[in-house]
Amino acid sequence: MVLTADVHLPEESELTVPELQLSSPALFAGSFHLGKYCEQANNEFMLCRLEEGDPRKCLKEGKAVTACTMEFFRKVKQSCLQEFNQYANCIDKSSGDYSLKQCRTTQGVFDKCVLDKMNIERPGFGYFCEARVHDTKRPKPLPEPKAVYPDATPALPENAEKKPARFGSRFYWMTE
Amino acid sequence: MEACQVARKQDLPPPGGYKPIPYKRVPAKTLFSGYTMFAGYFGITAFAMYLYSLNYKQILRDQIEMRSAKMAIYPMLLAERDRAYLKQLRKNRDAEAELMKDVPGWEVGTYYGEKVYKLLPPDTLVEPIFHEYYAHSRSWEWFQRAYLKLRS
Amino acid sequence: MFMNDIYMIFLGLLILIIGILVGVAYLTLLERKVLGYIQIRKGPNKVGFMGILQPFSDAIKLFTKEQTYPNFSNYLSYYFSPILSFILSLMIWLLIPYYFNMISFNLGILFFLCCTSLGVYTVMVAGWSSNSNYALLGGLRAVAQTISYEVSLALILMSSIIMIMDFNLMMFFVYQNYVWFIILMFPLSLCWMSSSLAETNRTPFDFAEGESELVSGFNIEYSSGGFALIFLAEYSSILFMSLLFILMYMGGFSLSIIFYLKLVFIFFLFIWVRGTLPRYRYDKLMYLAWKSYLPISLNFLLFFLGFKILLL
Repeated sequence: MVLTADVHLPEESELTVPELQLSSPALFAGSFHLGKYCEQANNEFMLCRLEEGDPRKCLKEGKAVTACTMEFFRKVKQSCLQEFNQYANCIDKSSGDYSLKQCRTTQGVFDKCVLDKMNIERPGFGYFCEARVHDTKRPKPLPEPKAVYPDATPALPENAEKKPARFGSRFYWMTE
Repeated sequence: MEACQVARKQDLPPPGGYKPIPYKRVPAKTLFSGYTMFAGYFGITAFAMYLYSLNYKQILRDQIEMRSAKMAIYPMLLAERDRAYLKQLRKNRDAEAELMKDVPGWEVGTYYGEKVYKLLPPDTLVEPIFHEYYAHSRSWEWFQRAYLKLRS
Repeated sequence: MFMNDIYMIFLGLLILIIGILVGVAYLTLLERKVLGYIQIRKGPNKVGFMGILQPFSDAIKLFTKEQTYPNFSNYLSYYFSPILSFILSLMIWLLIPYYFNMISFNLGILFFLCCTSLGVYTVMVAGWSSNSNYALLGGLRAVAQTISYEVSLALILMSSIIMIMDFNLMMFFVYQNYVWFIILMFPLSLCWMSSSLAETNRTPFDFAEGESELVSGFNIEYSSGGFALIFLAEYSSILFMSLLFILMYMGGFSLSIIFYLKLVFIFFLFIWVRGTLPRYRYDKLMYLAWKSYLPISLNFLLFFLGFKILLL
């Protein structure tokens, strides 16, 4: 194991939050509205994760993401449970890769319900693949300092004697 | 004997002789000339290519939609995974300390005090390799993760 | 959980094998019937109800006959090459476009090419190990023909691969939603059809068994079970070729009944060709593969490649 005793690892109690108990079809069914509903938290978390590159430093943001997701699905459960279940069932049963294209009718029903009761409009099909601007309070990360190698080979002095090559140029096809 | 007296009918050509043998070649009816066929072929192919391009764009849209859906749920999955990962790392380190506590000179995460990475600043999280991560879990869990591809 | 998956996959494969065997059996019956009516006679119509049990009676007859084996033949390879060819032709059916346990075969087209090219060796070994000049010559002719046509098959297939940009056979359904590829690449589909006739050694290209001096081709020394296995392998590969034609050029979804009706139609076409066309000539066959189909398919490959690049 590469982790020594002085590496700080968070306690188990710090890491335990109520987790989502949903399967893939349900997640895919809710994905677009979920992404829209939790856009702020998601972007914050992903920004942190990509800037730090360290799961320990983004636990707070991660917990916010999970909490937001839980909240979203609770709201869906309160308002549009039946439509959601219908849609998720369709996604589950229609194909091997949970593709959404087979379930446009049930999706329409679900979208309408979510729009009416939760006031979330379904974003366009490529919304989460597009580049989006995110407004954040995170400080800008410092640029990585230039690497300094103490044992680097010293360069030739400015006025060193530069003799012509002893056996002619190696690049004869360029110089001749 | 009487039967032999019946007038015998000889096998002869029909009166007026046989009809002339039709040896003339009858070519198949040509519905289209060569140019029409070429033109029709190019026309049909061009039309089919147009339809194909429509279909192709539809497929690209579907692919982008699926990618989009996956990217929408990715942060949630990543957050959940991070927590589970850190829990398991801590469990692994504790298990190693427990297991090697009777070995004199053994320090957790090192080989008798010899670190794997000497130049890294302290408190850097080096992600352990796959087999190390599953070293203290059940072999069944290792198997499930290692052969996930076979099962999905 | 894991074992459950294994059991389900095993069960699915078992059902698949049974389906293929019964399908092949009834295809032989269909062929005999259709050939019969083409030649203005009745096909088999006695066994069971209107000859419906004929294939099973044939199979029982074949497998209960005495298995002979020629003197000084290489017994092991003689015995096992029909078995191997049967196994290979069953293995090709793994990539039938269907979700087994929600798994689809991702590199199916490559797998198809591998299996068909391995099938050549079984023919060669069967012909060689029989210790008979007729079998050896028949086997060599069949091998030369099959190898030549594999090249053109692979090149024709390349155009389709370019069009779907995937090796998964399931993708053919997705890409033919708007237009069948038979309309898009009609000349290629004709090339594919005749190449698959030649690949499976069917009339009008059945030179392995056609010439009078070859008697019966590479399988002349095989009698009961070995002959039945060779026969089954041949017919299941024919059935798979017609399935591939449907998949590649006539779209449809593999779970609809129309798909299978089209499949039967294509197989009927195979039989029809057998009942109608006279045999070709061997040298002409070779020229057809190397001097016509090869340039045609290469040109079309470039054409569709350019089209696909235009679309990007």
